[in-house]
Amino acid sequence: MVQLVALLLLQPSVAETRRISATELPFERVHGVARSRSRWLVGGLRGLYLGAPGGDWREVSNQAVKTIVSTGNTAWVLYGNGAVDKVELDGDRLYYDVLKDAAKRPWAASIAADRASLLFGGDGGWIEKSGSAFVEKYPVELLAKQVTAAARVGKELWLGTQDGLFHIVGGKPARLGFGAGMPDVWVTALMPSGNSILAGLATGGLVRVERDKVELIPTPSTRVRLLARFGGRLVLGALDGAWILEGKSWTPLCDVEPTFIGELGNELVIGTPNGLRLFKSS
Amino acid sequence: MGKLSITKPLSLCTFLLACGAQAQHLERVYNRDTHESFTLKDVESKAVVKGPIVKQETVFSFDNPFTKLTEASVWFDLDQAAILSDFGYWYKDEYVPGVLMDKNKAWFIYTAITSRNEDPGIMVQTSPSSYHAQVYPLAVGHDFRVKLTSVGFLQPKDDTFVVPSPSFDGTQYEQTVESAHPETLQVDTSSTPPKNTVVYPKEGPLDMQVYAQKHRDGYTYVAGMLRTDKPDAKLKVKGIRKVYWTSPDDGSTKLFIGRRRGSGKVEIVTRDRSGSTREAKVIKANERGSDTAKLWAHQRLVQERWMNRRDVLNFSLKYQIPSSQTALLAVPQEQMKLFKKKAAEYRRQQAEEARRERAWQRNRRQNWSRSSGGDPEIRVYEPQATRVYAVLPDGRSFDLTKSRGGFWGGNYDIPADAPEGEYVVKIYAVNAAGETTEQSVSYQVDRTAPIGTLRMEDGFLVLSSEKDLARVVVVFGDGKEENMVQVEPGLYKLATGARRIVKVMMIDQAHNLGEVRWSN
Repeated sequence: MVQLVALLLLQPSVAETRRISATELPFERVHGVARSRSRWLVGGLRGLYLGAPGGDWREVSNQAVKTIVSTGNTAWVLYGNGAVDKVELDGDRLYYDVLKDAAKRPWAASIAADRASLLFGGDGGWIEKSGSAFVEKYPVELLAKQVTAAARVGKELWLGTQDGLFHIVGGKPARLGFGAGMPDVWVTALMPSGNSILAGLATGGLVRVERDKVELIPTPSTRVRLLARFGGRLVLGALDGAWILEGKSWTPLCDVEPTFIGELGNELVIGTPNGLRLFKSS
Repeated sequence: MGKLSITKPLSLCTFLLACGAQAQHLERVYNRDTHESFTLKDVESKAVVKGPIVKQETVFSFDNPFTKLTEASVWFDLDQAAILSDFGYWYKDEYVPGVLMDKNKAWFIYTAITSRNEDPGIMVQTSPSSYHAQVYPLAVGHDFRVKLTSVGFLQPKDDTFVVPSPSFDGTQYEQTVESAHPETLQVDTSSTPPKNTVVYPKEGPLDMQVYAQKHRDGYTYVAGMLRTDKPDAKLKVKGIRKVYWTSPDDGSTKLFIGRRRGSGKVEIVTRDRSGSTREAKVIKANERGSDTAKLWAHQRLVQERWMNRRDVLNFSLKYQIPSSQTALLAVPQEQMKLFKKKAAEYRRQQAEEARRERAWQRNRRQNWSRSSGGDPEIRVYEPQATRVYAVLPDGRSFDLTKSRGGFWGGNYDIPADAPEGEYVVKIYAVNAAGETTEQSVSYQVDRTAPIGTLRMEDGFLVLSSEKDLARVVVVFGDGKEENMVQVEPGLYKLATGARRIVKVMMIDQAHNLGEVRWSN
């Protein structure tokens, strides 16, 4: 009995169910995917396409896509040039460049979604969309800094840049850098975790930050690019692979560079240079 | 949308009404392919006088002898203080009104539709008072009929005002004239065509005729005509704001257009050495309409300095008046589906172009040159090319996309597992003649953390490391950070004073991190 429990505990919590190769997709190196029923929206270096794996793909845009964030049946497409499109997959509607004429600085480097709002990390600040209203903040502390990641923990906002992590307290950013114990100042990804924030760093691994306390979390790679959550567990993407946190150990999901990590229905999807890998909770 | 600097906004510098009493003057109407003129068959014109202004609607009918697809070209002008309020034509028996829109959009759609031999008409303003329309193709077997509607001012002549007549190729044509005050109208049948005049009795040395309409923007726009014995005296207007003046060439008559909120009194005061004269009129503006607002907007466009294409366009569309940035496009119902498709295509194209382009510094050809992996963007200047493609170090190739100003761009990936070293991307540009030129850009994969040694020298902390590090940060005991400065290649310095130094962080161009500890 003890052996059986031990065996169950050792079983990985996710299992790869299928792979979609690049030949079934409009291009290699996919940077984001959204899906509504059988309609797939795929973004990457060669643009944005609508279709289904193995079927016909229709070009929506030929501009390089950085990432796609889904909120319900709406997909938010962030392009490499900083523009953001909104795509309603069910209604087959595309809203071009939603920040243009809506924001003073219509340029984004990152997108994050929570239950109430969308956060766009911008040039020297951030743009928050809640309902139809856009609110922009460009504090002097973020001058000339691109916000590469954003996340909200309760009512507190955390912003990542290439020059430190910023905690917005009472509307004023407080910077956490090398002096605060950060092993790296280039924040590539943020993920709320209870009352704290997890920050993925370009070459410094992963840290947990609560207020101004920085704690390094051991990871299999220090070149972190992506953070996600699947079935309540943390998924980490780095330049040399992707892992899921099982208890206190990291279980490998793939050993090549993940180009994005997301969720499609009840599946975890990891983009690789050669296609997509899909996982389910086991 | 980029800003367009219009250094000489609109070329009209003086605002004189034309001498001849010609309201809508069709100068030339001809076949664009053969340059044969169309023969005028009929002119129907109606003018409605409202105080000092007159609204005219004229239909010019031409014989259409052409049996092949024909594109008609129509050139016409108006009095300089007048504005075209509508343009349309008949396609077979359907009247097709023009829709005012962005000139670029109108030409995009017109060109797209005419390339399929379909039937739109387009009208653009070539100067503040001159216009050009193209209609293609004409319905075979049907006369070519165009309708012009304009709003302008009566023209002073002695103590009366002439209602200007429509004309074609210098010949004036008869029109019917109406007024809410028919007792003021006079017709001189001894001339050909009969000359219509309006007689407003002059009241004293300063006399004013005004007409006001409430526009949908909430303002009441007031058009006025002033007759004064002191044409050179200073004029002061009270009761209306943002007033624009124009002067007919008889000197003693002055035209003005302004606006106010609601009803009230408009007062004009003339002042010179001999004293001042005052004239006031009560403005009621019971009528709703846009005629006076269009006249005001036209003068604002002509007399103000406009520096931005988008501002001119938005203003024109708001008041629905032609300008240098708009065109009237007339599309028959048969082609409306295609029109809507093309309009949507144009909107999409505009939106794509309006996306903010990446800020390329110093015209660099790629945005990263040292990396540990990722998706750099490449850009080359190849204005003559019809195709540009890149071949990556591993032999894969991809096409670059043409963007503004002759640049071609695209992203490529540096595999995360690519070994360290220098890589070359070859770029091939193919021109219309099929000739290919080659250029290359290189990048370096670097995953080695920088190393360095520290020493203290004359109160300066000195780091010896590799040259051109992206940043060197000194971390002090109180948590503060300061950047070191490269004083010569590979040598970085900072005056640290008595502060306790904890470590120095070195960040290279590929964001590899190195650390040197220090204790003092």
